[in-house]
Amino acid sequence: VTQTAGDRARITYDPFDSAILADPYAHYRQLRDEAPVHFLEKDGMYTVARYDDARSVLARPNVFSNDGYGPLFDYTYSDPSCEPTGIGRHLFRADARGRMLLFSDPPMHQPLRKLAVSGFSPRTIQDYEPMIHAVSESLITRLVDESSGEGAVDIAHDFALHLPFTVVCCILGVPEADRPEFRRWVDTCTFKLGQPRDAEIAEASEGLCSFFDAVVAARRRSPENDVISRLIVAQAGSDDALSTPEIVAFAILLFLAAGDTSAGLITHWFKLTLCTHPEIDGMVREDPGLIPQAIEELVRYDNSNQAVNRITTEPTEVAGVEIAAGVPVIVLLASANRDERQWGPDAETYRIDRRPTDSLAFGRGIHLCLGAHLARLEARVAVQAFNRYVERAEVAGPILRQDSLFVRQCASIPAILYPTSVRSTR
Amino acid sequence: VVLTVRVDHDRCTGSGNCALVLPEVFELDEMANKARVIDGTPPPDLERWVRQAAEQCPTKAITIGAE
Repeated sequence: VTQTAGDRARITYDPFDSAILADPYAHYRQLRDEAPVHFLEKDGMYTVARYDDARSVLARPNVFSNDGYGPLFDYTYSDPSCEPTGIGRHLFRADARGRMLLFSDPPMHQPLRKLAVSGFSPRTIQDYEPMIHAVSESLITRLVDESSGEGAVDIAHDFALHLPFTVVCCILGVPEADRPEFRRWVDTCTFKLGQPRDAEIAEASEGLCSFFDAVVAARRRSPENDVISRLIVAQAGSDDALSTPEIVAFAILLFLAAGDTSAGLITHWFKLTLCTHPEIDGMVREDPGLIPQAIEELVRYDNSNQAVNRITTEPTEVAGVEIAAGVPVIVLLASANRDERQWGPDAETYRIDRRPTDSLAFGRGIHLCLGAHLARLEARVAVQAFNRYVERAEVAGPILRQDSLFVRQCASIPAILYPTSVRSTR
Repeated sequence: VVLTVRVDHDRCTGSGNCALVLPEVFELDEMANKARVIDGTPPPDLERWVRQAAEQCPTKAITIGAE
């Protein structure tokens, strides 16, 4: 199968066009129907849009490699007038790159993954639930009091986006006093519109690196019960124990991976329940037991993480399309998750009773998102806390979006919050 | 009564779900792209998580038994 220039010309999808990224789903459908494996000529990359093809790429990690993923972070601006940030060059020091979980392939990947995975199992993270509850309640009660049925507050920026950040701070042991500066570093390093360029990213990266250098040194002296200590203790005395720069890079990656993605999911919950599907809000308030399946369907229907990329290590093919070695391949998870061939004719409909068991929202296979259960837990607790203190929310201004090829989210949702009796009688 | 766990390799499609739910019992063999049981008779206090792993398996490849 070859795609002609004429075929390509009809395709509207462009991963660097902010208008398309703000509402990509019709473009994904066109890709699935007309160009399931599509060559983006100006970017020199392929996109894979159908469910079966996406799965087949994710199942062949030695052909579709994660090694070389780092430099592709340069492409993540959705505003084409922004220069590449160079985050792949700056954030991960050269001496750490070789053994980064996200950037490694079999056989090196499995022992690295093994070190980290037990820190993220549902059994381990259940210990975080009281902390996540406490953080959610403190954020939402402050906003409810501020709004109290009159003023508009920002439930995206000051709730949804703040919660996952604070949770990772707690998990990795970032003291409260350091968090505002930390927030600035992380915001600078994540892939956002209108962000400063290289010099500021370098400074923010340096800040993150020195902070975690100190944390790792402290945990080497006296380990605690956290993810960084586990990485240190598990390998103590072994010849191939992770070095300090490797552990630092891992900690930073956690921050980047756990912040925007979970935050974006919670903002999409608000978009769903306040704007497009208010009946879902009524249903989960009536029966809070529906919240987990409502979230599971949301990650299929409109996840924050839209895509992952790979790079070919040898000449190969996907669905009959030949791809040379060394070519980036973007796997459009969010398109696969709406593929009618997999999900049926109503694939583009949000159905709370769908109970999807094999969506690609968190990827699949060896790089399946480590934080998948943490993200689900945060979203569930966020919704529970919001509904406990907010009787009704009214959107009170324009919703601002912030979208890149990889992460879609609402940056701002101004809303008036009407307190429940739980709050008003306190 | 001892809890027993098996993975049917003909059904397993390497989603990685079980290894994320309960890494003490399951791991993904990355070269074979199949789940592998590393503890076929897990302690009883893990039963809840073994069941969650089985429920989340998209191809229902995990069998739980008792001996």
